[in-house]
Amino acid sequence: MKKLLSGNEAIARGAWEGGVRVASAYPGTPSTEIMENIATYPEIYSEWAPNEKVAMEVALGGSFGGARALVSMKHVGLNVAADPLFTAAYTGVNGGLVIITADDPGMHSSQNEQDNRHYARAAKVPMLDPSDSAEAREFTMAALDISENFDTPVLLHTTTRISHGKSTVEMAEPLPLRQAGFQPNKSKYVMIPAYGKRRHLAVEKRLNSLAEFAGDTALNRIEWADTSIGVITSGIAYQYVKEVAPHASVLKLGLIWPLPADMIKEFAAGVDRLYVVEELDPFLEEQIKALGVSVIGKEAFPVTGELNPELIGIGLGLGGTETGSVKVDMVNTIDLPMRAPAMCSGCPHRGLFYTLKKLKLVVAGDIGCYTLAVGKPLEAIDTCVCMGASIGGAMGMEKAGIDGVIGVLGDSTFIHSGITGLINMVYNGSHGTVVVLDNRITAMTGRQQNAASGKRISGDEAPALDIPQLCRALGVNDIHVVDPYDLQAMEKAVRAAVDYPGVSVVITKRPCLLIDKKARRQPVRLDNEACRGCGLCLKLGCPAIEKVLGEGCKIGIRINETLCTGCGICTQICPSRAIAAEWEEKRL
Amino acid sequence: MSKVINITFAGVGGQGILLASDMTANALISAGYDVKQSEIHGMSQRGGSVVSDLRFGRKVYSPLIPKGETNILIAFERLEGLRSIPLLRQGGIAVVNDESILPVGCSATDYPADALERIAAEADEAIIVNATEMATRAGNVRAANMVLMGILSCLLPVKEDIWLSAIRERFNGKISEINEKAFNLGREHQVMAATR
Ligand SMILES: Cc1ncc(C[n+]2csc(CCOP(=O)(O)OP(=O)(O)O)c2C)c(N)n1
Ligand code: SF4
Ligand code: SF4
Repeated sequence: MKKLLSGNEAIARGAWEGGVRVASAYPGTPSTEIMENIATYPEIYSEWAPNEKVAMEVALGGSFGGARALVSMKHVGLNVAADPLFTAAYTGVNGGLVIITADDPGMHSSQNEQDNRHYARAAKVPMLDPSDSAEAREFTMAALDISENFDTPVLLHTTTRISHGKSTVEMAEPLPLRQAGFQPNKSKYVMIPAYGKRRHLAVEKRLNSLAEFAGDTALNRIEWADTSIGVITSGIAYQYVKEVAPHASVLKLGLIWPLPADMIKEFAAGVDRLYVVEELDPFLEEQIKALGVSVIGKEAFPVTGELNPELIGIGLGLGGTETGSVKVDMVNTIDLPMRAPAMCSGCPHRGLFYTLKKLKLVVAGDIGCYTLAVGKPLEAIDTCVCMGASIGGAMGMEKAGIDGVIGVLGDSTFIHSGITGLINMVYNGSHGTVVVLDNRITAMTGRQQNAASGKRISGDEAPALDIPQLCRALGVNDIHVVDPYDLQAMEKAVRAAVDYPGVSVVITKRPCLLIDKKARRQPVRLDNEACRGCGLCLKLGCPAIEKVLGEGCKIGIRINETLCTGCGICTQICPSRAIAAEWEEKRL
Repeated sequence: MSKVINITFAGVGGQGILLASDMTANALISAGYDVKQSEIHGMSQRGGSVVSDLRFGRKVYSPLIPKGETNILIAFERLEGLRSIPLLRQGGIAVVNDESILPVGCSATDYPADALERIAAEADEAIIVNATEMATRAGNVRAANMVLMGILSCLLPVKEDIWLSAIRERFNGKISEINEKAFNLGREHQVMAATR
């Protein structure tokens, strides 16, 4: 059966067809839909783990237990999971283990643009690089086989264009299942130095066999055509090369680590001019040059951002595309207003950042929907590095002597890697404050359940982590739980927490509006007579509050009734009390 | 080289752009074409610009449409339509929903009031419709994407029954009826325009 699938859907399909039985992940764009789709197959145990390290360990344990296993994450997630990865390379596997790293060249939704192909070389494990959805499915299954045949975890590398792009996939029935079962084998599974030394030898031997395999496998292939120009490429770049240079000879690599040295030399010898086309770092290029083959690489193609057919056409010396019919830049679109993403109207996070700005605090921020508070008009985030860094960052700034620093992070981020930072604050005598924005969900990545949600990926009920009680157990004595729709209560809590001579935690508690549809209330109403046009409400950055100067409206503010969710935050900051909520009136 | 046709869908997060692109892709597959689609979701959800590239032909390699090679632009909103005009190739068609959505933090005075005129001036062929109004007539504002898909269906080599069964497969009961009605309104609009 043939179907249009995204790369992520195709990986999930390949996992199911390939007999995966244990799958774990932590959400992260562009990888998230892999686990969301795997969870639709009832035969596979699937879970959202609290972070990527735990997810990797669960999958490795599943493999030790004899099940085929999968773990998926975004590129920066592999930094978190790198510890188990490097030693899993030594233990090897029992059931096949595939590790998916979804990179984000172009940084569509990430904090950096790292090239995770380097992990394959650093951890000494093989890496596959599919170039469309059909290969995403096929390579997932191939990865499971390679994993078992060579006793190694296998990395599957995707990028945003592969994960989110859609193309047709031919599907099949699932393979027969392998027998699960754990055979104790201490010298393989217990990595103390004595055993580890022996396993390192096995790892090096395995790499040699894999390099031989790279020359034989159909995953790598030469497409001979015009030999005046040859291109070595993989992943999405292969499609772009075929688009702009259909006449060129191509060495398409599906297994990008280790590399097929002889095949590369044979290809190089067969063409006049040789290019390497790859996104981001010169990963293939440097290895190919190390073989003594001379190639044109990063001098012709950028090391930052995504590639595209035009860039490749120019780099190959073919000029842009072939048609020459382009109307590009006929219209000046530079001066058009940008449409940046913003927190939803009525988002429970908004009021906190208004408050922090008002109190002129230095905000060590973190990663989630709330990071959008960095933009105009709130501009209320001063640092953002990686998940959990708000807490360590606030602590470090405090110790550097900076006053009025506050760490702010979401519930999912707190569970992912904030808890240890908070332990550090208590242990090392901080006086700082941390705000946990508890909206009961991992919202930024599309609303995945987490340990505080009370639900699992399956939708089944689960115990919901009690964040105040956890903080108490960690030794935090000053804890405030507030409704973020109540600006006064929130300001009071933040002031008290900042003044408290010890570690304080403020928990703003209200579900993300997109998971709690019932929380939407009647839109608020603006009294045009009472409004003096001061524009203070515009400082909230709520998409429902529109500035309409010059449209015949005397005061210039309009509440967009389809967007307003009636959260009531603007009613609390309007100095003229010109905005009224119907639900508020009823209550009075 | 066999011909590849490029369609760009552009609009604002939440307008049902990816769904329309998806359903069009599936209709084209049913009609026997090779199809590739590329889109970015992630930041797009919260009111940002959304663009989806769809390409079809006998064999398609790149999922990305080279800049200036779009044959048909389906714009769900005026400003996004104007922003996407440079993507069109010579002879390309722009289908634009006559609706404006103010970007967050943008004052109404900064919103290009002449967006439609500029689109009409730049595109070789511009089809401007009030899909939002037609969708409301069909029973739900949110079905504006189906109105636009109805117009697009008249420009593509896919038979009507394939589209209709795609709609019936995707939606249930009342919603399916409304979407079908919206789709038909779009189709009728285009047929009328073409015969005028
Ligand atoms: C190591 C790592 N894993 C995953 C991500 C992707 N990611 C970005 S924000 C986020 C979670 C945000 O959830 P939460 O902190 O609860 O805030 P919310 O979006 O719900 O406001 C995730 C998983 C990342 N940036 N880094
Ligand atoms: S998705 Fe939820 S948490 Fe994110 S901006 Fe919207 S309301 Fe806020
Ligand atoms: S009540 Fe005010 S702040 Fe809340 S959604 Fe409506 S307009 Fe925005």
